[in-house]
Amino acid sequence: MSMPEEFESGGPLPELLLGYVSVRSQGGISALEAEPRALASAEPFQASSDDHEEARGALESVGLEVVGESRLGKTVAGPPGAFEELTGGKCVTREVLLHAEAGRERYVTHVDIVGPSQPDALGLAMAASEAAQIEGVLLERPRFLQALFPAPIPPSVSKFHLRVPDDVALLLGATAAHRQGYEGAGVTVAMVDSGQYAHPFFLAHGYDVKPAVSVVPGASPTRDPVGHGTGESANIFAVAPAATLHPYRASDSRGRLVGAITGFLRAKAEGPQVLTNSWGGDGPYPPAGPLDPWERVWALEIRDAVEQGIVVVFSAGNGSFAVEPQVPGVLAAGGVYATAGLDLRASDYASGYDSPWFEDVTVPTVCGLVGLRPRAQYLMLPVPPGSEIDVGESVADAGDSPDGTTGNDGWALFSGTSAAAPQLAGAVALILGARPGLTPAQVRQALVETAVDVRTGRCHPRFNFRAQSGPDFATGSGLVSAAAAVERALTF
Amino acid sequence: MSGPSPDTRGIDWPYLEAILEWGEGGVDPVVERWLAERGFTFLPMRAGLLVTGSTAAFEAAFGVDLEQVKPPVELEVPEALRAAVASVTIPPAREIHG
Repeated sequence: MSMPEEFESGGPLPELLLGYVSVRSQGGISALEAEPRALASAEPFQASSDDHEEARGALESVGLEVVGESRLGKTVAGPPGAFEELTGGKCVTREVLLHAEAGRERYVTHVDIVGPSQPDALGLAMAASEAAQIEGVLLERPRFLQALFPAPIPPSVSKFHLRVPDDVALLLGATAAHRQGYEGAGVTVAMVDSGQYAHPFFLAHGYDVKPAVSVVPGASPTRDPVGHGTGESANIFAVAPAATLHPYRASDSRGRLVGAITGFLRAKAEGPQVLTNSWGGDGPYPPAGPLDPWERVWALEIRDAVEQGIVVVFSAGNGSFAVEPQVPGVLAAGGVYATAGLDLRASDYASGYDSPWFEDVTVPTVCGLVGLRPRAQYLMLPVPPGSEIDVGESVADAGDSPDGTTGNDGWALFSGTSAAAPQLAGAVALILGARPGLTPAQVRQALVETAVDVRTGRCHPRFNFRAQSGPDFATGSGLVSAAAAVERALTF
Repeated sequence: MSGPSPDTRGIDWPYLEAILEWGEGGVDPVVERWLAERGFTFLPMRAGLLVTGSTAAFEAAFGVDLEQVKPPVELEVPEALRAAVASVTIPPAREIHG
């Protein structure tokens, strides 16, 4: 079934409309009715000073503000009621199918003025009184920037790296799942992070991103001053392109993650199938004693989400030691590094340990793709231009060379277990898309039983565990293999 | 990439989270009323409340100078809440793992 090109939607009108008013042409032919060849010169369509004055008076008398003028006409702004009074028509909304940003076709809301004496052309209306010296009114139409910034396609840099979505999908075995039709459709992944910027990368790929919820008062839901949430969320879609992302911004206006627990609680209350978190605390390792009371309350809250049926993912940490990934039932996302030759080894950037607090819990559970120290510049990810990560990764730091991008191009090389968590979340979305209703324990079983064993390398030197044959503290059960996990899940 | 750290100069965040742990008596509406009267908002947790508010609200209600401390900070539970509340703690801010 084809979609209609245009239809009246009955949607709400904007409070303010903009329009162009053509003042009576001195040449005797209205600019709105002239044949194309008559447009060879603009001079006949200029209006006299007297007519300009008449028109201005008529416009202002109905409550329209003149915001710009030329020899031909005026641009005006005002409420829909003012345009209706000027024309005697009625303002209505119409949805028009257009090629909009990034070449994507979508319905765009237009405003039209309709009535017995009004022309059919969309957005065009005639003045009710000829005395106003107005030939016609054209309502402003939505316009789109023809050049996209930042670019939806990443820049080419010389440093070895992986790209989203294709490289990440391939190495995590998701491409094979996509070919079988498993793309995570119908699964909502909530992500609590620094924010979500509307990068053209997401639009160009047609990814489904719900409007972000900002949990910190005064922080805009459309901004991401750090770039972390925006960039890492691309990992979800690399693995599960048909999933729905619901971002929760937990950072303040300076990008500090001051509302992380609030974000987790808010996301949990909405009951997503997957809740992914690329953050956590840090404390002494090994810890001096049992969990603090506040940590017990917090851990119980996380455990409660799992018991509600939400698959909760936490990053293992980049050398940090925290309670979040240790909570029983949580999928703790560790790091495996794939070389250019596709050899796999434990990432020395990722935490790995046996939980001193919870029996039978090791961190990580399984792994995603994570770079190596000193700063794990590994995945080319979309970020807000000029954001903290965009700038920070473009310059040398900690003995590491710049990533080869610029500080305001909207792309940066980074990773960390922050990338592994959304990759796992994507794999979970594939599983739940294929087998809705599986419990978090079943999802975990499918991932663990099918992960690719990693036998070389060591995790972060703070823990210094060696990867070896079979499950280990460095990489858990190994690198996620998404298609195999889906296949396993289908047998439950 | 670890993001900006909130922990370097005491607590000067515009938005603070604190975890309130219920005492043995469990949930008590008196506590929620007390918090609301002092400008806090709160979300229920399985074993407590997530209390959120401004630095000024915490300083006024709990009698602490947050510029002088580093989290985690266990606040002194006011007399009016002691029957129901075991502890109130401002945890360290969580860090992103990029």
